Amino acid sequence: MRRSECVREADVLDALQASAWPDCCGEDLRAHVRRCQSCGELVEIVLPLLDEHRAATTEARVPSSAIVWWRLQMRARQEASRTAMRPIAVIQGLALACVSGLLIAAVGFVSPEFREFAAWLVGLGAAAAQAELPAIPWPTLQLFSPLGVAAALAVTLFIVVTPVALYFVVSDE
Amino acid sequence: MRDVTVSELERLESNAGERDVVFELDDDTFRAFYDRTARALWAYLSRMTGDPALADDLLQEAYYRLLRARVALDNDAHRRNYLFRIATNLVRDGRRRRSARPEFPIHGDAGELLGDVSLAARTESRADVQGAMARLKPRDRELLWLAYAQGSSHQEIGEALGLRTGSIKPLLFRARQRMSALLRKSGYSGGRRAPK
Repeated sequence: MRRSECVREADVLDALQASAWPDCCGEDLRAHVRRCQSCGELVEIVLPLLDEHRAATTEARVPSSAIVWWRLQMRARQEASRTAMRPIAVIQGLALACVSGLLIAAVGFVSPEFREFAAWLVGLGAAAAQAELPAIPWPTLQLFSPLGVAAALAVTLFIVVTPVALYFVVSDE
Repeated sequence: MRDVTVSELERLESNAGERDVVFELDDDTFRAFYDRTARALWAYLSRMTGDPALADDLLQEAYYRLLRARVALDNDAHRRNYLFRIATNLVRDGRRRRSARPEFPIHGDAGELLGDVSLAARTESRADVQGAMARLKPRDRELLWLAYAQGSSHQEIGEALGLRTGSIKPLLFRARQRMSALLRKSGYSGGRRAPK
């Protein structure tokens, strides 16, 4: 048979939580707990839990409210400044990537070694064209000029550098 | 929660002139509320996680989330229930992340609560109860703690655990039965029954 709750449970619980059990409560309640399985079980469980609660409360070494208030203020302020800095960081990352791309393009355009390298690449392109490979369309041919190669390299570097720069700028770690 | 270092205090002082970040509570209200609730919340966190150090961290996190919450909390009782709700969610999140390990260990000196029963019997009794609590389902443990250790009403428990008030009574009754069965299985001596 399913055991149900006892109607005097609230009285027993009140006595337990008021620390009136067993000495400061009526004899009728004590007699009831001796007879009632449900209330006996309640006493068995609640008393040690109350002990545990008292022990935990005594054990608690919480910092003062003033310190906690300051800590929370600091944390909120840090989070607010991080949030405010985020768009700036993104723009900085983009600017960094643009500058790197332009710098590389400029160096490529000016440097004789790079021009030789680009000319070599153009030579490779021409050799490929002479080898009766499929016809290369006009815009692609334009790319094989030294300037085109430099621009292509700059664009490639921009595509590679942008996400990397953004990652380093935006990531918190 | 670790203590504040001198350098941290200096930094706090240097920031004293700065404008306060807008929270849902002002300084005085927060401090009064914290003083009323911090110990009980720490006790709850400590016993639900089984880790006092973690309880320190979660305590601060819970208050922070309460202050940042954009929720209309008309009075202290609602605020307190909401705080325990946040704490419960933090404990549950932590539990999901952590690998299973024994919770609700014996804390402090059980003998300090020595009453009418001998120290050994009392310590043994507490150990039995802690062992049984550790084997309970987390929700049963939360229910029993809030209802019996903390003396919260069904409405408060419902708000703290995110349950309907009407469902608390049967859930609590079943949790108690499970706890009782576990205690019997572990040979629990019975605490202090009514004197004959």
